[in-house]
Amino acid sequence: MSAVRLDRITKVYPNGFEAVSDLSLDLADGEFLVLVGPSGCGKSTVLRMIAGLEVISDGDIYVGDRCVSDVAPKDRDVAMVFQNYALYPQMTVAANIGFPLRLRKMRKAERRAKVEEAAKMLELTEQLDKKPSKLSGGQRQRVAMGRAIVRQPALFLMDEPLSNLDAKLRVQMRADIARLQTELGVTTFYVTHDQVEAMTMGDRVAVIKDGHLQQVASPESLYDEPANVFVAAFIGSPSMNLYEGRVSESGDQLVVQLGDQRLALSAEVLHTRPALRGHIDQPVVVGIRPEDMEDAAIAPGHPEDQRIEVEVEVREALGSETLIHFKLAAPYVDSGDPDALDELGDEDESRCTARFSPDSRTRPGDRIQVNVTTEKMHFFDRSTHAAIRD
Amino acid sequence: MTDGQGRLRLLSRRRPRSHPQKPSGKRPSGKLARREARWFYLFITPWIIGFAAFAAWPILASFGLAFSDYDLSGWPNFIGFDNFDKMTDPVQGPVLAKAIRNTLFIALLVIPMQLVFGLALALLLSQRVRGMPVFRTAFYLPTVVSGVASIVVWIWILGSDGLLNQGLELLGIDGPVWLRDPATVKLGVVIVMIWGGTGGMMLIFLAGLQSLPAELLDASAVDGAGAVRRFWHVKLPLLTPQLFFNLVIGIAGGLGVFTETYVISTDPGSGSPANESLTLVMYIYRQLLQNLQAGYASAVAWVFTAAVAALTAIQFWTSRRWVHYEYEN
Repeated sequence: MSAVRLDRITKVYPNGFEAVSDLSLDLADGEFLVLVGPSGCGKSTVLRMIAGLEVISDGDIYVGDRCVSDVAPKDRDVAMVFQNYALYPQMTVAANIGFPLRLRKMRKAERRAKVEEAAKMLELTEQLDKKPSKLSGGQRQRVAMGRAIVRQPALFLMDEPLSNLDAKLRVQMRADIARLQTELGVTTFYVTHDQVEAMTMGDRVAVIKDGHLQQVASPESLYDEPANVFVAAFIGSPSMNLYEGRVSESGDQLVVQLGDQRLALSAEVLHTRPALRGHIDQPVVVGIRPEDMEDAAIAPGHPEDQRIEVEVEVREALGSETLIHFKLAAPYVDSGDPDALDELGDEDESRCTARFSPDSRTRPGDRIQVNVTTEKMHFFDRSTHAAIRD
Repeated sequence: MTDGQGRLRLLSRRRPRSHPQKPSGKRPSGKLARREARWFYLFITPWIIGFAAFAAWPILASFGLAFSDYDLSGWPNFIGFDNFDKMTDPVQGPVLAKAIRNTLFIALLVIPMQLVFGLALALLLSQRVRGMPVFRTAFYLPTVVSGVASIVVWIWILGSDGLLNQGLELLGIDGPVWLRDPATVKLGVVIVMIWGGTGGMMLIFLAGLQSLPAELLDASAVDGAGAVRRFWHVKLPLLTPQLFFNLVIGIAGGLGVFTETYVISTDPGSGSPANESLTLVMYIYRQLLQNLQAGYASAVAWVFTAAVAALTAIQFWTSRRWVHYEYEN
């Protein structure tokens, strides 16, 4: 039995806007599921529907074996952590953490013990008598976590809990939340727009766009086998390079034409993607992750027919890696991510990024050969944007 | 190019490279600051003159007059604390005490009820219901209607054959002549004041309710609070700044009641019937304009002002404990 089940839930607002469409998800007991998507995709609406803060227009929500679709938020046995912490300003940290227990009329001594236990777990013991306004952002977020865990609910709901923290603190809190979740073993539904959070924290990641579920998979599967162009572009930073290309047969091997560049595909490509044969001599969307490209000057053993020649426009040396920006004379493909930059290309050329080893010494203006690991290339149907695989 | 170089040379002469101008962190000084200051004083002068002539000077003058026998004619003569002693003498003492009792009776009933009704109305009017702007306008209307006009309407409603008594008659109750009966006149004043003053408080509470952080209300709903507990534990503490504002304004307004009692009296300003509608401000008015005792009226006014100021100071002092401004979004 699932710990939480969303059965074809839909949310239509009075103005007719459909925020969530026919969404189904199952969470296993103790699972950490991250719902990720660009801003305005309906992910927070899903969370609020589970919490009971939004009325669902259609479908059902189950917590355990109980349908909670028409149950008041307080009776759903869920706890929620909000983006803005949502701490009661007039209460001390102890009162904030103990508030849900107080509402359940738990005796004062018992309540105090549970609050102290939660505070110890979150390293908040010293702060118990302070008001939230005296705490740092990270401490406030921990108080919000404490208020959620003290109840020992069936489900944690977290709505972008780290987005108000600075980058450094976010990394620390990310680890803290993951550790806490593992320790407590409570099923967790976590919403974020940050794909790094999604990939690092979730047992599984669900990607949503325009209220429609795109793919649910483990972080590794999502990255290696994206179901469509949107997921491919959304997961990964820098994003996957997407071009319109054409696969054709040349003798006994397949080649892909990207504008004026021609890449021979290794035999493994067709082996792992047999459906690609059905797209020969048809336009397809070709995806190459930045790390699947390398400066040929420092990796000379790569087959010469699996290289492209480009002119370096910008070089970003990040220490552990070097990002190279260049243009390719192949039509750009829009992934449909509203948060992505608009000017990534047009019908004639695409802006591309490659992640080279820090040993690469290329400079802007250099004309260089770039190795492409063709067996890791991605192919998508041009009209449906679905992955071409089996 | 020559222009550019020339300009550069000019700049370098003015600000030698060896002595770069450092940002001082203070307000700009020099000609620009002086010019801005001149314009500032020019624009503010009419208000300063108005305040000095019509507020500061009368206030100061009344303080001086409180120690004089001024009777609105001739020159005032200094009489020390005689006016203050007069407040407790056998002639004025009982009447002043009566005015204070009446004022406190009215204020102690009006202020809490205005606060409670204002908050209750605001809670009702903050619901998301179709046509709510119409209700909001209707409930705020009494506040913008002329005070005297609305009191006249209430005199009719509370009259011997008024709407209220007609309603009571249907229930078999023979109602009093509310505003003419010494036993009920103050209650009549209270009703009129609640009707007229609740709208303003409601508006302040409504603004506060509408700016409540939604996530706190959501959090409390998930934490297990129903509507009643959400009100006590979340909404009310977050509304304490509005409550405090309304309380301060309400106390000053309640103790300063005048228009209602003035218009309601059979002989305006008399405090009739039987001085039951005589309030503190009306007492001052009566001393000043009917008895022409400007010095004494000033003394009473200053004692009254000091009392209100002390009360307000106490409110501010206690507010640190119960007013919560801490919410940061």
